[in-house]
Amino acid sequence: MLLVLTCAIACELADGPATADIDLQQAIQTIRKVGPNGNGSPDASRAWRKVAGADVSRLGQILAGMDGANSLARNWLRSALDEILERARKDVVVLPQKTLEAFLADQKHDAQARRLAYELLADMDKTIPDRFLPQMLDDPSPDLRRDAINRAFDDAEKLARAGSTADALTLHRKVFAAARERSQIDRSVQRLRLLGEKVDLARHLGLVLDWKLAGPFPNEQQKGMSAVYPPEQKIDLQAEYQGKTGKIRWIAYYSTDDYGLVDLNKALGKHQEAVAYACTDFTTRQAQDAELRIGCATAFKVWLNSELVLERGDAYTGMSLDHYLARVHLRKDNNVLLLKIAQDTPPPQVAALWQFQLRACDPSGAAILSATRPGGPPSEERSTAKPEQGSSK
Amino acid sequence: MKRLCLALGLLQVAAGADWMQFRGPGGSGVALGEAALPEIAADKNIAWRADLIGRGVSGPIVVAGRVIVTASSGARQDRLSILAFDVGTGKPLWTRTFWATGPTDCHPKTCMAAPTPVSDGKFVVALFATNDLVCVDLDGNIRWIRSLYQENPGASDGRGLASSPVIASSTVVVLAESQNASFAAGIDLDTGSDRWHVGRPREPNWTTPLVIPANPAGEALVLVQGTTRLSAYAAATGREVWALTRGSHPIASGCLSGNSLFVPGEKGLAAFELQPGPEPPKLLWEKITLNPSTASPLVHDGRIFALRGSILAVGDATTGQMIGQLRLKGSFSSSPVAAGDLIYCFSEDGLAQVVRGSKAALLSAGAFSETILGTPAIADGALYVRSDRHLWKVHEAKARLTRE
Repeated sequence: MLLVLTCAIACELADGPATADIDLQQAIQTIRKVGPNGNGSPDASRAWRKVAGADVSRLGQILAGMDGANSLARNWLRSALDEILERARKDVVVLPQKTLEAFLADQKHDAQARRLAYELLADMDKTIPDRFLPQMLDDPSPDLRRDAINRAFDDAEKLARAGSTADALTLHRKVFAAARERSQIDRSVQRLRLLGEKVDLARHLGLVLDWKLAGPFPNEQQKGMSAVYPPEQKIDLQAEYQGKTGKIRWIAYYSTDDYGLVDLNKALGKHQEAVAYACTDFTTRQAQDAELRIGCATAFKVWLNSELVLERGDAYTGMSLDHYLARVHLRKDNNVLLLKIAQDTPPPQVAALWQFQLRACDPSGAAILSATRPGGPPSEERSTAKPEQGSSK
Repeated sequence: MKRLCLALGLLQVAAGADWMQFRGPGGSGVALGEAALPEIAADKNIAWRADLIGRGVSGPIVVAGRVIVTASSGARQDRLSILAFDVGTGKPLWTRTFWATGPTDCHPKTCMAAPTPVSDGKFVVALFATNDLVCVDLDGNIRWIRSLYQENPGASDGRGLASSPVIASSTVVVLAESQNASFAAGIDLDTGSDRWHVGRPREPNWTTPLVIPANPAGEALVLVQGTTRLSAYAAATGREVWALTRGSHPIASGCLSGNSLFVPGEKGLAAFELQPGPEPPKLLWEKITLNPSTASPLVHDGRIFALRGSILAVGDATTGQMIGQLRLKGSFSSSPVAAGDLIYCFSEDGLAQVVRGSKAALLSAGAFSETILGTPAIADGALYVRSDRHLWKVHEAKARLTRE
């Protein structure tokens, strides 16, 4: 009898974790099936309780369950971790550090899950930032990269203060190359320029500088954005159009702004209730996915190769770099970008801005440059607008 | 008319003593049958103070012994949290955090935790400005999660969305209206799936839907205060039961008192009489001097209180006649709330100003010294006030006032 009982306990001990693993994995798989419109929620809700009830030793398995999952499923799993972690804190259970470190180090895992692992580790071990951040300047997780860049910037400053100017410059260059967020880029550029470095910020970011502009077209009562003017039907850079105030033609415009600002008030003159078009060619040597990131003070539309890829109606909500994003596919060779930008009547005490900026980049924010992007136009063309003489670039 | 009043009565009973949505019972801003404190401040009559992990323009709600708030945090405000605290002790009960699936751009004054969560007493539904919508039970167990941004591409506002969800007929009604893709939807509280979904005008709108009395057919109705069209939808089906073409306020939400509906608008605060049938409500009066700036108006004990800049305008709810006005300090995003005869107004810089409603007189002012944009909750004689950093329970049994 004793032998039977001992065997039973031994079998349970032996099978327990394996069975728990399978149950947990099945629950994770159930959660991964959730979809839009609440699809899969009843099953996922039951599975969530299993995941949330898992032992803290299963953190790695649950985090890995986020790999490749849709954003809904990742949030289901993320919130189950909250329950597990709250229980661990209450019961004073130590988290599986080695598992979490291995998970963090593997860049193939989900970026947000890795960031979560990093924060859990940093809470329990103060050496984690020192050990991990120096290798994370190019990390796919924007949050980890941000911390790594901040840390490297501080290190460069320490080097500069210690008189190691050359080393400081080298590190600042690395920081600039890795920086993807406006505040970090601004700070990095400022420091590099103080150190005598020439920085082509617009190129670094992939901001498109070279445009053809046509406008103003009418936009009374904001009807201009839905009106289809000739450039939306066919881009003919030699064409003459009937505009809001008379005949208009395409003009060339090259932005010399660090952030690629195209100021239509300066290029086309100040107009109320108007729309303008901006057009450019974008050449790639191979087809690739890309993000078009746009800042614009007013309503706008963007077409890529005649397909509408983004439309926003916001007006005077504040203009910022990368405010809007369109995920697109650039075809091999020539692509045509067309923008339509509205000028609306601004609210009281708000400047009548009529401007935009656009850049092409990969999902991390690294620039994708047109193969025909000029190194820089002749000096007499910079900051000027003049009637278009030839075909598009 | 009897049916109308009966339906309204049921609404109020259902709301109970808890504070379960934006502006509490019936979206009125008025605590049912509760007296409260004449003097409050961060160092006066504080039962407890809890730390919050992120920012929030949303108000707290109080449900079954829990205070529930939302918060957003992270460098990009892309971490969205629901936090539950014990009403008695302020002890954290649970937190659920989610990653934003929609854009997090907004005016710096607001954040992603702008809409106030809503509860039916069993479940809590939290909407964020990213259009992430989550339903949990009172213990934080997840029921369902929706990404309304991914399902409605472009449905975001560069200034930040803020309309709070409401619940009627076991349907969660959400409104996402901006100059971009706009919609209203009724979502099954039980399953998280759409019961209905309608396109809405592309116009800026931060108001919260208002549950209004059921029609004779027994349909619970939800008022949607569009900036150009005031509509009543059947909560369960999305059928537009009546509509009025008129310019309404894009920020300050309307409120209900009996069968009178008060809607901030282009030409002033408008008072309507709800009709028992499918007809739209009848306009009674409009008063520009009672039209609020940002905070929603309060109707209490036959009086209207509207914050116009730093002026608290007081009017007669029946006639629209001005009764008086009171200059307060600061500017106001948080809507005024009432308990007993006391009106609580929190300025953006955290000054709590307590007004005796019947006399339109300032009783006291106390500093919380933190930015307060969310509308407080009142339950069981206690106020629950949130800033970007803290949640306070303001309560002192000995100092309770009885209603005059």
